[in-house]
Amino acid sequence: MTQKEYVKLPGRGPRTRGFISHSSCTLWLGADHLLQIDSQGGYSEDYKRFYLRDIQSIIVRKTQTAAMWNAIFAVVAAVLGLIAWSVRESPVAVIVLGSFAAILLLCLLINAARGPISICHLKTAVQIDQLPSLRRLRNARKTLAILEPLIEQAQGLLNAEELKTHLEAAAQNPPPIQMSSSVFPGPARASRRTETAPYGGRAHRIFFGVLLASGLVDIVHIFYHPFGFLAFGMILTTALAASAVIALVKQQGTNLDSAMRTLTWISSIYVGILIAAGYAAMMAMSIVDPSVAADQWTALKRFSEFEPFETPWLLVSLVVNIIVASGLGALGLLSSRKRRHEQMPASSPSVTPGPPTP
Amino acid sequence: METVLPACTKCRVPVQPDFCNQPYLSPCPGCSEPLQVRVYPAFFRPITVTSGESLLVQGESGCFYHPEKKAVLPCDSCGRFLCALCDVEFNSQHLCPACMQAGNKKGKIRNLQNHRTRYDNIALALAIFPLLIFYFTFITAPGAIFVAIRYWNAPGGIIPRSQKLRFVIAIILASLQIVGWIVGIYFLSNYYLPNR
Repeated sequence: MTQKEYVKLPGRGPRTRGFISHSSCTLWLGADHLLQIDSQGGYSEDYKRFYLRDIQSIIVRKTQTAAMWNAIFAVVAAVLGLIAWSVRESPVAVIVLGSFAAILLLCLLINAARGPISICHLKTAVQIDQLPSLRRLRNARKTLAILEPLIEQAQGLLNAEELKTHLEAAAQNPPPIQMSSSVFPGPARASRRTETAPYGGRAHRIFFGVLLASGLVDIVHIFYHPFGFLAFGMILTTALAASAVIALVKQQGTNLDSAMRTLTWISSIYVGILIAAGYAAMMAMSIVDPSVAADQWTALKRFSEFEPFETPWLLVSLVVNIIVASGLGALGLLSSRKRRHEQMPASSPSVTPGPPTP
Repeated sequence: METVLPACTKCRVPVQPDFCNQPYLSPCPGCSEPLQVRVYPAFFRPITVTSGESLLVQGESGCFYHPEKKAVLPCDSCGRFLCALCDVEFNSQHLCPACMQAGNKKGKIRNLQNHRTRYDNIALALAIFPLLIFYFTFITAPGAIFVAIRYWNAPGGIIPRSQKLRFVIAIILASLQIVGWIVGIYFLSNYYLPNR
């Protein structure tokens, strides 16, 4: 029997840029190296090899991401469950809201069962690379248990005393700070970004803020929907479209990172779909009742007469918009906030007193 | 050689020696994020840089690329004499940079390849996904057969995953779709144009 050239190591994870995943990563063990496969939708694969003799260190960091997702799933499921309970006399509403809550509970269970999320980095003499396939702490530990004997076999054994002596020697001669940070990809990306115009991100904050507000307004819409409120919602949608266009124009040629750009594009496309869906609903209404075709205010008045708990399509679209718009809006605002925090030390003159450039 | 202490991947604060190679996660001294750092002997290995030994004795073989340098071995691929500077040890072979580059370009050295297109998956996707909107299969079914035949011998992924079987399934499915179209067009033409 021929032995397999590569053995799959535990785990599979997305390689993300910001919040957007652009490939799925797996890790395979060869005779003398690790093979990392980045698969783009299964249609093309990129390979990276890490020779066992070259691996200097593996760093596993446990994050709070899994706990955060568990909390989000639990809270949203509980809110939907409470809404379903409060309108239990309407079977359609209970089924729609209950289904969403059940899906979220299932996500919660799966996420909890898969365990904590970790970020694993592998360091060689010339690079430090993230191993996205070891996204779960459990998989990272399993992989470490498989790899360590093989690395020791390839590099030799280092006992605790020798290790301590070497590391203490290294600690006594600390290299300049920029050397230590130069092995990380972060600053390199930052330096590339400086070639473009700096951008504070106000237009994006406004856009994501309005998007979040539109999601929150729809929560109110489920229970309270007089004509005036719907007119306000319509103005908000117009503001949303305008702020999306402004954000897309503003991000051109700026130092905004690609994840934020992609998120803006996705949110703008969603806003486009939202407007198109609203237009389609209005068209459908004017086909059913031609009197509303020429008068938008009349159409809006007629629309305010729809009771979400008695109109399944309206309830589903409101719940979808609450989840998607609030999710995208919150994500965008959090990313903007994170970006702002990252930029703050760089703009502070007291932190980087580097020599003047000629 | 200066060794850089391993650092937290979040706050980039170097960790202390006692922190390394512990079997459990410990809070990072900089950001308190739970961290486990495993360090291996390669961490302390000095990087050896060789410049090649100069020719000292008349009549000694010189490197093909650097005639003034002493040849230490021949290239396993082209046989040219190489100095220590030009010798690239790879996959238990000693190659010259030119052979290495040529091998990479022609895809002969498997361990240098860093990208592959999965035509088997493309053919299969062309044969399956358009079934959701059947009208597209009018174009995608012949496309799937074309991709399967055109790239039948193209290398698949580095990890072997029954590429030929996927091509065969794609060809069968696409052929069935084409047969479906022919039968459908035949019956429709008979239905609408019964006198022809």
